[in-house]
Amino acid sequence: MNDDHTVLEARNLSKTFSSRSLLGRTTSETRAVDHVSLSLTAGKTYALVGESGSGKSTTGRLLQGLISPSAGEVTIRASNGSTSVQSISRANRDVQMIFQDPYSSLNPRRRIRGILEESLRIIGEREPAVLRSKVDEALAAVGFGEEHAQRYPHEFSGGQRQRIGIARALVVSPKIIICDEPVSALDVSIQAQILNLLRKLQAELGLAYLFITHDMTVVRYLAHRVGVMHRGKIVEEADTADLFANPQHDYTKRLLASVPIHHPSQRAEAKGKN
Amino acid sequence: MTNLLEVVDLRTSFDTERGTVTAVDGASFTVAPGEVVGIVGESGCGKSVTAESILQLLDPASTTYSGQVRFGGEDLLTFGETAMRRIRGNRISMIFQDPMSALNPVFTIGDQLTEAILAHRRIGKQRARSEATELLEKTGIPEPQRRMRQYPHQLSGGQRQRVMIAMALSCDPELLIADEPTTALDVTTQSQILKLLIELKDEFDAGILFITHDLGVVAEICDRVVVMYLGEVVESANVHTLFDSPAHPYTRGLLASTPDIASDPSIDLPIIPGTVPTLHNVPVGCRFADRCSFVLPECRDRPIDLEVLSDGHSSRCIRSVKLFEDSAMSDGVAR
Ligand SMILES: Nc1ncnc2c1ncn2[C@@H]1O[C@H](COP(=O)(O)OP(=O)(O)OP(=O)(O)O)[C@@H](O)[C@H]1O
Ligand SMILES: Nc1ncnc2c1ncn2[C@@H]1O[C@H](COP(=O)(O)OP(=O)(O)OP(=O)(O)O)[C@@H](O)[C@H]1O
Ligand code: SF4
Ligand SMILES: [Mg+2]
Ligand SMILES: [Mg+2]
Repeated sequence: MNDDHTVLEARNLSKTFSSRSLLGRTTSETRAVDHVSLSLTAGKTYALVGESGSGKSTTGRLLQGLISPSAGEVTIRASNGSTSVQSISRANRDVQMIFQDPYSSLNPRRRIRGILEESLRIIGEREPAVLRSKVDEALAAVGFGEEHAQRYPHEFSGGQRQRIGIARALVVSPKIIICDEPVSALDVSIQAQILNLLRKLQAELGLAYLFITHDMTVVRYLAHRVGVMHRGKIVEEADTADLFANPQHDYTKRLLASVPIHHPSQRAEAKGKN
Repeated sequence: MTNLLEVVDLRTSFDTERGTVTAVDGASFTVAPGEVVGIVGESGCGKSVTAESILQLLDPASTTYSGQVRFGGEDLLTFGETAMRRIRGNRISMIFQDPMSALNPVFTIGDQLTEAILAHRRIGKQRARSEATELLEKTGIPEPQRRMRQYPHQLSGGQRQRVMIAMALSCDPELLIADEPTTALDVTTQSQILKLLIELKDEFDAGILFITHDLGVVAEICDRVVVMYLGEVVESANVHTLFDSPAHPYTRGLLASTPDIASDPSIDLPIIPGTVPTLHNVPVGCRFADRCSFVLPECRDRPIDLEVLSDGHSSRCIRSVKLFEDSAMSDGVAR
């Protein structure tokens, strides 16, 4: 670990997916992540941006220990200062993930309270009063109350499910949260509430975030450092202000240039007509 | 022009363990051929339930619909499951908010797309396969040929979303319902998809019901907009009117809280104060009253009616007329 505040370090991570035919022959290989190195710092946000399919979610899953790398390793510094190598066999409670697809990551047969309690049980919490109060606290943080705790996932809207995913990550008080497009399904109002909340938690608890997003407004608001992925590689890395002021890679330039419009009169076709 | 879709006083309720909740409460709106109608509103306002009610996709055991969904001269709410199956993915197709729920995990992308094309066209399998590949390519997915042989779990989030879009477009529907179709896509890919939808509309005169929380997307593609709040339509207007002179305080709040890449990142983002009440505590009077900065005591007395302000513009607020005139004036728009 290169300095005191580094809580996670990925060195030369690679992941190759191979598909096999029925006869077991490898038919195609995808190098989804290609020699990625990055480090996460306590109290700071690292944003990972890049076009669809560039390897952002796969990188997030490697850091969380959900899949194992084809090469390279991830080291994590625990609360007591000791370091360990992240592996699938003993996923680290200090690292939690908010998934891009909230629905398929929630057990459809359990109530929300049960889903959140399960996360706490996995890390060894058994005391009913503690389970209850921690779950209440995490749900309140995303704007939910007892009425929501009793429901099943299918009874929620898309954006509400995404908030459940956020509460589930928060409930175990992790040091590091891998956020995979956590606010892209949310309307601006709740998006702002969640982003403000994430920023507040970071300031209070010194959380480190890896923030995967395609929204440059969010990057500018939340990130300290930005990595730009392209075809599995990090092709550009810079402090946020520098990246916005002086983008180097073509994709970064394109991303920053394509600002969404804010008014129907800005439409390309409307401009011609009016 | 005759409308393609007319939703009249649609009401959708769910039986839950904690009593009946009404997620869509008397929604009415229309979509004409070649028109893009947006539905906007905060999370949980009833946008997806409205869309799923049009196609009767909700669990029949716990869902009750009332009102009318008029399409092609008939009321779809009177149709049984067999008749609805002939409508879905054929005359009306839907892009779902959650791509995994719409894709079958055990079949390849190619098989699913080809199947969808063959289901409504009399062409050979080879031809259907090559059209499927072409459609994938149009959505900007790299290496479409290889993707055809892959399974949904082997794709990234944004790639899956685009496969679903290809699937919904494959039948050249008369009406396309798109529920947050571009949330996983960056701005560049998003505009490519929006172009694709416009093409569909221009080529086949299809109508599009476009659900989104992103007002930038609304500004980009919609002709008219329906704003929902807690199950009700609170404002509906032409897209220009909506952006220039919103009449409902909720719509104004939504417009004001749109983040801007140029705003100061050290300041907390502006939000509409408070949260949407749950469906178990629907207020008697104006449903937005607890969060409204224009609230008057009489707002809470009884349900507020949707009031027509001008041709094609209506708002559910007792102060609409006044607010509408003020906003029209302050924006310097003469009407
Ligand atoms: N299980 C898998 N098997 C085979 N290929 C995979 C698998 N998971 C991901 N891939 C491939 O790896 C590449 C990177 O995928 P990843 O999900 O990391 O992209 P992403 O950057 O998160 O994209 P998006 O913005 O669309 O979510 C894609 O081309 C994808 O098809
Ligand atoms: N099966 C169900 N049983 C009970 N309540 C439900 C059910 N499905 C949806 N709801 C509730 O109905 C309301 C409307 O949900 P809907 O999915 O239409 O919201 P939405 O406007 O699409 O929101 P989002 O932007 O988050 O997707 C929500 O409060 C949701 O919790
Ligand atoms: S009716 Fe009253 S409370 Fe409701 S939106 Fe109008 S001013 Fe606000
Ligand atoms: Mg992804
Ligand atoms: Mg929805």
